[in-house]
Amino acid sequence: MSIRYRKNIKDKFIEGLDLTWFSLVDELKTIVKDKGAMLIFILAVCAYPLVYSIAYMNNVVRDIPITVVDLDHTSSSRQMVKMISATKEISVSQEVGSLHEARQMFWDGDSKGVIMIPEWFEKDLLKGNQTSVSVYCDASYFLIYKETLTGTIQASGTLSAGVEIKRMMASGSSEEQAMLQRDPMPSKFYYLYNPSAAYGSGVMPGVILIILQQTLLVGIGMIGGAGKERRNNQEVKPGLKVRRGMFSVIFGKGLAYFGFYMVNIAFTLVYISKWFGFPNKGSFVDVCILLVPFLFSVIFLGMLISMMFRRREHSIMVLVFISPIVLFLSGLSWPSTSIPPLLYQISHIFPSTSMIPAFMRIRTMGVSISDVRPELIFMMYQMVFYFILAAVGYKISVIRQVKHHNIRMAEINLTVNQPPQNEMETETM
Amino acid sequence: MFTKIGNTTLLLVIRREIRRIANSWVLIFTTMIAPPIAFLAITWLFNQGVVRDLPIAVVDLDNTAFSSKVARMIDAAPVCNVAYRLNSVAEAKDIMDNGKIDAIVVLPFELEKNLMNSGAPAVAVYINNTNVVKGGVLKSGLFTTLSTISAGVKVQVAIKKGQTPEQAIERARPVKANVHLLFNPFGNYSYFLVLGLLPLLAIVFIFLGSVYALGIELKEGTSGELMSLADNNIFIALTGKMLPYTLLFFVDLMVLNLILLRNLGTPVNGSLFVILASEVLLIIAYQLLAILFLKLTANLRLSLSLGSAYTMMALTFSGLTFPYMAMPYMAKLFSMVFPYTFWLKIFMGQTLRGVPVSEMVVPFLCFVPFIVAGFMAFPGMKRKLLHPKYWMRE
Repeated sequence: MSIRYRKNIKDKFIEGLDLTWFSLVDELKTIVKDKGAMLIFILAVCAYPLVYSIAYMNNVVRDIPITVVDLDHTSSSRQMVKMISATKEISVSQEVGSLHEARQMFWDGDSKGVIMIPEWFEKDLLKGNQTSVSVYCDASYFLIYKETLTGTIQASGTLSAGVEIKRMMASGSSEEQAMLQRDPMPSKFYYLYNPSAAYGSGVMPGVILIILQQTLLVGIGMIGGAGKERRNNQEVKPGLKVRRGMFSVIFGKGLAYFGFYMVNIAFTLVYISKWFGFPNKGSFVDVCILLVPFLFSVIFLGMLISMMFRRREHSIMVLVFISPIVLFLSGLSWPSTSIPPLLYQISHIFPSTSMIPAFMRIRTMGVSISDVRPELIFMMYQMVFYFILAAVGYKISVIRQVKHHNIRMAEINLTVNQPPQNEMETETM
Repeated sequence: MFTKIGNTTLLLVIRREIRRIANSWVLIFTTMIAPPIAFLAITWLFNQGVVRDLPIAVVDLDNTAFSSKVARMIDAAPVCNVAYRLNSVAEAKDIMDNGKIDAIVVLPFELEKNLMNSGAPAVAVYINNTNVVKGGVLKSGLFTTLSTISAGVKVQVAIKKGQTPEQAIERARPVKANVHLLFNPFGNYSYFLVLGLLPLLAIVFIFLGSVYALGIELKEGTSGELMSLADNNIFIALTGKMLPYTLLFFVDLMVLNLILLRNLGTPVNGSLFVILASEVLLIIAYQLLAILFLKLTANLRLSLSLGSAYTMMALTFSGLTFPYMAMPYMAKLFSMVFPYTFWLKIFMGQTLRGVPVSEMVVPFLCFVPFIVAGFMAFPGMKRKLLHPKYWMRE
């Protein structure tokens, strides 16, 4: 009795493995045969990250051309101009005599902003009154405006400090005392992990993960949809007849995509990252530990979604427009604490919402796997959850498919005399 | 006579198309349901407008009345929210590693005592710059707060020395920067993103919707029926085919205008008529490009894949997120293959910037090549619509 039982388990196990292997090979064949899916899995995955990385290659905005209008023409105002052009953000492209001219240059696109130093600039400084420089910056492009602002504030701050110290020294303080009096509580800023505030290397690793996720979802959706399109004029696959082996089938199919994406991971997260110098702190082993539940969650989610599409094209239509929304929900550029909480909760449907922060911490900040434990555990639950849902969904669709098949066989047997038109109709449905 | 026949066949094609839309949930979804949902989702996402209340930690090594006052003032700053009050930097670093805080402010030992003596150690601020947006906001927010506190101390000292408060404040910063934001009343990042993302999503729908509507005729082999209804006139067939979508997408863009101009408060400093004209042109350009893509591939699915890449990339290359001027030359060149780039120029010009209409001629002319390319695809498209060998292909 017990021996028979054990043998039963062993047999079942082997049977399951067999089915897994069969599904893996079968799915791989389907992927390779499907031109549309191959286009997405190979071409899109290669092209997108390259194109985006090139766009962001220069990483930072430097030397924004600014027109200066100096109405004062004194040594102080000239010093101000010098300090402005010394900042890394701004380069003074022209100096003109009137605001009118400066405006013309701005409209012509020769400069991105105007800085005006008023008359009586030096006089006010010497008198001890507050004076000001006016900055007009183009706020219709965010980064340009931000950098112009930073540069000007920095330059005027430096000049201010110099003036103050001179004043204090004139009233009898030593230089050291003057420095202290000027700024009694000095503060020092340290920028960790991305000190040059590089835009590309701050955004691209996350964008690559989004690309991997969305191409997988679209590709699986296309293959899933295609399977259904074909179902009416195709024999039910032998594997599909095994109603109880759904876990093995789903696991096998999942492994096929997983294997396929190992190559894509190597290309995007190793090579492209190296070519464009994206941050590579932390250990790659830790990254791989994260990638396993991430990829499997995406794959099983993809299978789940694919069961909802009747046509392969529909998966593109629906998933493409979700992509930019998913990107901004990941906290990659817009902080997650600023996203409406309900929307942020919903966004956890997509594994990228957990993966991107965890990945960025490992690669950019160099933390260890234990520091990303909450995200890792969440993705593992997610993987198991989607696995079970996908398997159940698959079982339902197989049962339906077999039923369809039986009905069709019965129909064919009945109308055996006029099959050609019938065949045609079902094919185009 | 000829025009009369043309009109009636055109009407037949249009009527057929309206029936097709009514019978297809995908077409209803991409033209009427998804665009407003997507627009609202994006608007909801950036609802907060400015980045604020980012979690930070204050490590108070001083533990005096002054240091807790500083901590309170930091907490009161709009950009941040002191989530942790700690006693060691190492602890704070651990919390940052876990991703729970974005900055650490360290108030040094004997801060109060050394405030006016020599050798006061600086307040150290560590900012996690992994996310450039967060880092930038924290940098300016914390800098303003800390220098305000420092200036406050300075002003108090000056008052003690006998200056009037006004004098003391004026003397505290001899040169002020007066900032004038041109063209954007808000100056926040989310505003730009919404402004760029909504039209981007609109063109995704326009392009994919048009490709699907026409491509499905090839795939299902119904294009012969379409052509015979149009008396084999490709111009009538495609006009009748596309016109209902032009109208539907125009309605979508009106929803977009309502959100951007009314709800978000984008000023129209130029002409509303020019904006509307550019939007009609945008729809037509992308519809014609959809025909071009289908003519080149004769394959619905391939056109959809290529088209989704083509439309999505337009945002990156429009210069809205990362400025155009800092891109490599190749990327600048590449940005010209998207009608979106030119449309955004017109839209920004007529809303935020208030550029004279005469300056808009060039971007309007930039639509011409796209439209011409689309029309040039008509004869080829006719062949593909008529020949069964292009039908029902995988």
